[in-house]
Amino acid sequence: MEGTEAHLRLNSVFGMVQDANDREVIQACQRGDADAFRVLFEGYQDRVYSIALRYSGNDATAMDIAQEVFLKLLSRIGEFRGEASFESWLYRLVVNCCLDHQRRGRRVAPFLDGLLDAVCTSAESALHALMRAERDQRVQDVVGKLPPEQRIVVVLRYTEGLSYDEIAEILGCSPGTVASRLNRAHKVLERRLSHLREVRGGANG
Amino acid sequence: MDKRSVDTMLEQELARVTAPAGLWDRVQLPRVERRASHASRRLTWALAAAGLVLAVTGIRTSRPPMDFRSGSASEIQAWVKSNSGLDLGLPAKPGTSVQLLGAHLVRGADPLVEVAYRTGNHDVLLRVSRSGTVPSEPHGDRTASSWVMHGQRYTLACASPEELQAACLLCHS
Repeated sequence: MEGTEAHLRLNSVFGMVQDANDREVIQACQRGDADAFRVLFEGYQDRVYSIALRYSGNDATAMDIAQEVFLKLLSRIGEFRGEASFESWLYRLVVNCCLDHQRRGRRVAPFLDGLLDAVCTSAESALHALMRAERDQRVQDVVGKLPPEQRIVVVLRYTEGLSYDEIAEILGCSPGTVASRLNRAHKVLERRLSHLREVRGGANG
Repeated sequence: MDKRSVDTMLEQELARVTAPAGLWDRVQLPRVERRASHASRRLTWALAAAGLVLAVTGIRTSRPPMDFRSGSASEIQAWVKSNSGLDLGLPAKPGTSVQLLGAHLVRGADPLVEVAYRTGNHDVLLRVSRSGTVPSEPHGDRTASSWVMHGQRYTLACASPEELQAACLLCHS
């Protein structure tokens, strides 16, 4: 879509339907309306990309996942029947793409990314570069080392601010399971982030 | 580090971000490529389908290599029985317009026999196997007809729908 006319048309669609969860937009998408799909994309791109980024810890991987999500959304929007909320349905798509991506082995762990960056930095000593890389990656690294089922709960909770019930609906498990996974993740994070804070303090000081 | 501090840190560090501007292009590009490839894929499929039809027609109408040549129904039945254990159940005297040519034993785990004959100018294959041992020809196929009788599957195959009726003359003349 290019040019002022197209832009105005897009704005008109935006004005007409501000809420991308609106049934009309989804129904228009189901009929193959490209403008409606753009509305949906605009409404959800940040959420989709953020979950992908926080889960994978890598910009390029996050782009791959987000692209895959929207292509799947385009091809599967006809399957959405409105029984659950569209957001839950989309979140489920994102979660599945994240998990699939990891299963296919397309992701390098964030920690290893940092390590590779550090090793490739010739001007700095390996140790200093490693400490700097670790500091830069900070929480994302630690989250990235969590098991997938704990990591996705953490991301949905802290990136999207979802409730236990909402996360449970997306993941197809009980709220108790969500709470349990989050609790286990918390314990790991408390331990590892404490260590990280010491490293950060040492590196800065 | 306590739970509250972890909460605060996670909320800050895992906050939502803005998607890069290039994401829409990446969503758009494969769609355009996909549309183009769909068109070429349709052409490929059309050509493949045409080739398949020709191949299937050729297979069905071409006579199989004969393992046993004979114009006698009783001789063919006896040969088939001794080599495969199958009972063809051919009429002792097929119709006058039917010319039996012979039989071919298809090698495999389960016995499968093809009997070749001509009716008028049409080449026909009668395939016989134990029922359920081979993939059946689709019922209602205009150039093939399949049925099960006495625990055996019979399939008549010919080149055109018109020939199928003539093929029945082997037993129904």
